[in-house]
Amino acid sequence: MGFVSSIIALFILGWLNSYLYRKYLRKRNKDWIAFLAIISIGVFWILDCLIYFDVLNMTWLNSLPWINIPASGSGRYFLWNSFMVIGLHPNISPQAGMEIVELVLLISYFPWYVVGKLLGKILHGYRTYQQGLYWPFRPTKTVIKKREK
Amino acid sequence: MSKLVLVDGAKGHTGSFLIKEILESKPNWQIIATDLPIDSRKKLMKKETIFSSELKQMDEFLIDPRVEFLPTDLTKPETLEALFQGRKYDFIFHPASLYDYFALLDILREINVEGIRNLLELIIKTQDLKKLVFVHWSTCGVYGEPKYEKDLRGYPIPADERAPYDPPNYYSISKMEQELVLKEYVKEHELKSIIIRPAPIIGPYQTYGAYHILMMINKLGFAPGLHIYPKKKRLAMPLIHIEDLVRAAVFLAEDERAIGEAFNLVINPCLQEDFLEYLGTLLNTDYINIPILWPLYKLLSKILFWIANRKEKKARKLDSRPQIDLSMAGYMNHQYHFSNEKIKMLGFNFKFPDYDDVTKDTVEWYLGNNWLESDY
Repeated sequence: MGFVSSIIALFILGWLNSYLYRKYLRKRNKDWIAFLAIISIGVFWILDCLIYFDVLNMTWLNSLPWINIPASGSGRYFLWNSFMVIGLHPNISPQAGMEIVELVLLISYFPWYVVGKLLGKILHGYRTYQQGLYWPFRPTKTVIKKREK
Repeated sequence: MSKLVLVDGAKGHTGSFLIKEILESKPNWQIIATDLPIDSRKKLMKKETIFSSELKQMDEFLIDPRVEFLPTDLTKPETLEALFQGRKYDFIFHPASLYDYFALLDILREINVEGIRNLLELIIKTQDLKKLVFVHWSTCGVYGEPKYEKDLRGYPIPADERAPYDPPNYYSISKMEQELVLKEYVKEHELKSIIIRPAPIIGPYQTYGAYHILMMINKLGFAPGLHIYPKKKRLAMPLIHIEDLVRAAVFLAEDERAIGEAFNLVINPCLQEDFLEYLGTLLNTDYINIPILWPLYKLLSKILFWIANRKEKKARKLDSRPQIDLSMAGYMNHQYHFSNEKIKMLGFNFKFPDYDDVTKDTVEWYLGNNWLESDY
């Protein structure tokens, strides 16, 4: 969770979901691609909103020795500095007027997810019989095994 | 007027369509059809089933009463004798060849070059050379990438039949050598011959060649439209529909003006990006428009060619085949731009003159017959 980390996570999730969809889900129900998008983006939006409004209090992370989240405005502070969990602490203090940037970042979760999904579609294909860019680069041994089947 | 014709390679893609064309358009022609015996053919033509064992050639015409099938092997002259005993042909159509970019030069020479030599040797001994017309199938590949003349804007002008030989791969080398053998016999024995040089053939029932492009785009799930800049560097997509190819062969065989000449058989000029965009539409896949500068494109295609080369070597080592034969990958970085004006000047009308006619007919057939996977 966090503005930038959510964008990265949703990009990767979009990619992963498009692979899962082609490989396992499309043959069961073609609507899975929409379900996955709603679930993934919805979860991130809801969690980030809960953190933003301090409904989910992230100060419990202060138990980790390298984390120091201030008691007031802890949600906004965490969303800007979420990489501190892995030791990267840019120490961005939310200021008045940054709400617009926060809103834009929050809205951008959707297009970033879509970009990840499109990349997955190109790399792995979209329909069950498609294999995307992976097809011409498959290892020769894999091709032989498939032909033998 | 009744004619007796010989069609070799009768079970192959071109041979089978040629027989169908003759049966439909020439009610008085009798056909002697020949090809390898079934077992030898299966062993040699691995390319026909390597990508799907469900693919098959169209051979139901061989049971027509006007067709007599005699199995022979071009590399074994003694098997060919049966074709000529007591028969004087009006036309001999010679599409039989090993068309396989993965095959090594030795086997290609044995079948394609020595094969035509064995055939011509018997023709010279047994046939009436004043009457007979020998129609030989070559390929536009014998030109390689000619040095194109440029128009005023710097765009390449399609090369005609006078372009010199410069074959880029083993298959095209063997086709060039075939032509040279034929020319030797024509010169020495005054054999009446016509050489046709088709661009990559496309059409129903194809299991190898341009079929790969359809299969590849279908597997990829998108058509990569690389729009090269400057525009004059954009690559052409030479193709010919199988029906036009066999129609042209029959047309030329009957035209005295074609004797001793060579003819390119190719659709009107078309660009790879236009072809791929249309193909993407027909296959219901995305089309990705990527503008790219020519030097970058050259670099990218060289990297892909290098990868294809490595994959081919690996496949040979493991006694298998790569997904895409190396020579096919060569289409990515060579300009193959050929003219069809010569045959048009004789009055031949293409049934599928443009890339969209050719592509639509072919893709609809493949999807309709489930030769390409689809959701429907």
